[in-house]
Amino acid sequence: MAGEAAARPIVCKDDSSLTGYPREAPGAGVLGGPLYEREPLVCGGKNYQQVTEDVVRWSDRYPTRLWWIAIGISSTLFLLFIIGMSAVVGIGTGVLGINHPVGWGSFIINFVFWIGIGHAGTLISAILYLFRQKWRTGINRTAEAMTIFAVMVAGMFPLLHTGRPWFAYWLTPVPNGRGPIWPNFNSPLAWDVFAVTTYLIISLVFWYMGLLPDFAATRDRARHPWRKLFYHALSLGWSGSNRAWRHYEAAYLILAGLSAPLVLSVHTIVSFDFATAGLPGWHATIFPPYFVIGAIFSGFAMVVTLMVITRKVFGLEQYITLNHLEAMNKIIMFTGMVVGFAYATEFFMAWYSGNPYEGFIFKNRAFGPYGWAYWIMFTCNAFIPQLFWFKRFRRSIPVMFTVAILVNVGMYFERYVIIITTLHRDFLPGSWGMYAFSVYDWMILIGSFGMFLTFFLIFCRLFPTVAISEVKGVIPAGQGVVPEPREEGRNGE
Amino acid sequence: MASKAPRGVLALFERPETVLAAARRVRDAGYQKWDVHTPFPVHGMDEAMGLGRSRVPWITFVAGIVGLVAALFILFGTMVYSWPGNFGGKPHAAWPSFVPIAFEMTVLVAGVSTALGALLLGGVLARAVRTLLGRAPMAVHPDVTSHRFAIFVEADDPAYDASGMVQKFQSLGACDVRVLGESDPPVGVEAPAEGSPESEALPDPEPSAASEAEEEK
Repeated sequence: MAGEAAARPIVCKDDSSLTGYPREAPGAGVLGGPLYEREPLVCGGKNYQQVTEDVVRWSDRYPTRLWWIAIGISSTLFLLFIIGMSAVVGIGTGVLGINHPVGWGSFIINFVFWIGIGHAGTLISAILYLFRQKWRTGINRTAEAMTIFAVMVAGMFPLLHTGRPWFAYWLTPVPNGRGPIWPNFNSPLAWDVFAVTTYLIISLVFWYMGLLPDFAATRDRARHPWRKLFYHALSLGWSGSNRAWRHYEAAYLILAGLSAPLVLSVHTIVSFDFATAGLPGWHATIFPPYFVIGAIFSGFAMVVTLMVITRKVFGLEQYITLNHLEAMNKIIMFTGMVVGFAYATEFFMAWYSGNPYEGFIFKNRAFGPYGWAYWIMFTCNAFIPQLFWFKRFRRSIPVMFTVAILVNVGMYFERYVIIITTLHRDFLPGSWGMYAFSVYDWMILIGSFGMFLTFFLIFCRLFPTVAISEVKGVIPAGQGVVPEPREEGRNGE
Repeated sequence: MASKAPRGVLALFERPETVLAAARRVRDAGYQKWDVHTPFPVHGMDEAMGLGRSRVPWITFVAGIVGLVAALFILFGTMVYSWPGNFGGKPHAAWPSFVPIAFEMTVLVAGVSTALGALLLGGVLARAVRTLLGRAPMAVHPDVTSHRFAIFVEADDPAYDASGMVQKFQSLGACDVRVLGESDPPVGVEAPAEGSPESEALPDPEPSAASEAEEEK
């Protein structure tokens, strides 16, 4: 029975025929059983050669006009970022809105925001790999690229927040002539250095390992000698030898196993920056899971935002199908509910603890001068993703794009609320104050998107945007199913 | 890019199942210097080639221990011995606050070593040097990184027999068999033109695959 079902060629017309339901085979009966067929992860009846061509062709041609327009805008914003950061270094961190009592302003908000964005990439590449979620293959390359660029952007903020970034190496335990004096390893800020550095390096290694066979495929298809040399160097002479694949596969699985706890540890440690401080609103044991799930939430929203654009611009609709996007929307809805639950838990604990300072902070958070930020956060994160209960909305590109953008707005405000409302009014009314963005805060916030998008666009131009070798393993021809000859026209049936 | 062409028999296959069955035959025939080249990892190929388990997990394990020990050395060495500081009256050897950094360094060293180790064991790094110096070609055939599956038996193999192997591979379902490095390449069936029904040139691979499965039992 199962063998018969597996041997039947899978016919799939185009994107529109994917419904998101397992399809009933003729004679399957009410309960279906093995005659129920899951929809293919790649539609359009692609064979191996088409998969390679569809992905590789973009790096072997002159970039499109759309790409030039996009890189023009994003590099302009990147320039804004560089100017803003130059002012911070050249004039001083005082050009920003930070002052007494809010000493952690947009720098730390942006840091937590961008680090969180990165988490979805590792979740897709590592945790979904360990859970054998094969739909990850269409999106993992882009999601991992997003992780790396997001962490690179995030790393800029604490580096510049030190005020004197040329002394940033003091954060590492380098033997020195100052005593020797060492970083305080009891401090979560020192843990952050190790967590973020490790996260960046391991994500890069994982990404590069996945890219190796695809660089080789690009190399063997490149026509221009310089392009060939470029991909040749990147592919390390990968030849597809099974003696290399054997160790490669073992390493890939282990890297996934190492990255899975790593990604959970990174935002946990970021949350320790707050949770180990004795301030009301921060000093809570809920912070690590609350931060991790929020990071996954915002990261998936960013993946959806980028995928909706990437699949359209690069013609990858048959690799990143509506089913992929729907699966991500389900994760957004689920994590959104967990985040909403965490907000409620915080309020419950503020009341149940009986601590007047804790109680005041949360009343002030929701109904104080920054209440607007709180309600933007609450609406965007807890209410709007509820739209995804409806299949129509989960599968609608305009709806998911809007929701994903709003989720990231909401998650930005979550970090804003956590940092600003706790700092601006603490124990003594005499030390209360307000916080407002200066023009430089806006520059580094908007500019950070420019840096991220510039890197992302260069990646889309140069690197294979879909994991070619992994996708080949999940298309029907790779699963022992007889591929239909092209002449019969799978697309035209 | 002048490269020293490898000598041997190259058999190109259309389908992973076919190359898997053919690899089992090559293994059983007792060849030593041969390899299978595939665009993606083919499930069961390690066993079909007679290769054991990868030793990469051991590299990870040892590197992880090294990372952990190095982290503990730095943490206890600086905080307890080199410059013991008083942070809020807490003990110098405050091990719970050393856990995050110890974990991160374990993962860092283990992860980087795993990747490097796999590339070293798989001969990728050695190949990288040789191909960049032009001493080896990049792939046995440009299509094996895209849509063809190849078995390459080197001419240095003690059991090497070019004409016998060409026939053997053709009977195993190879769509194209070439003898590389000889004066008259390519011997055997020409690659079918693009777009032509390639299945005609292929003997049905299913019977041999099925009989192989029987043999495994």
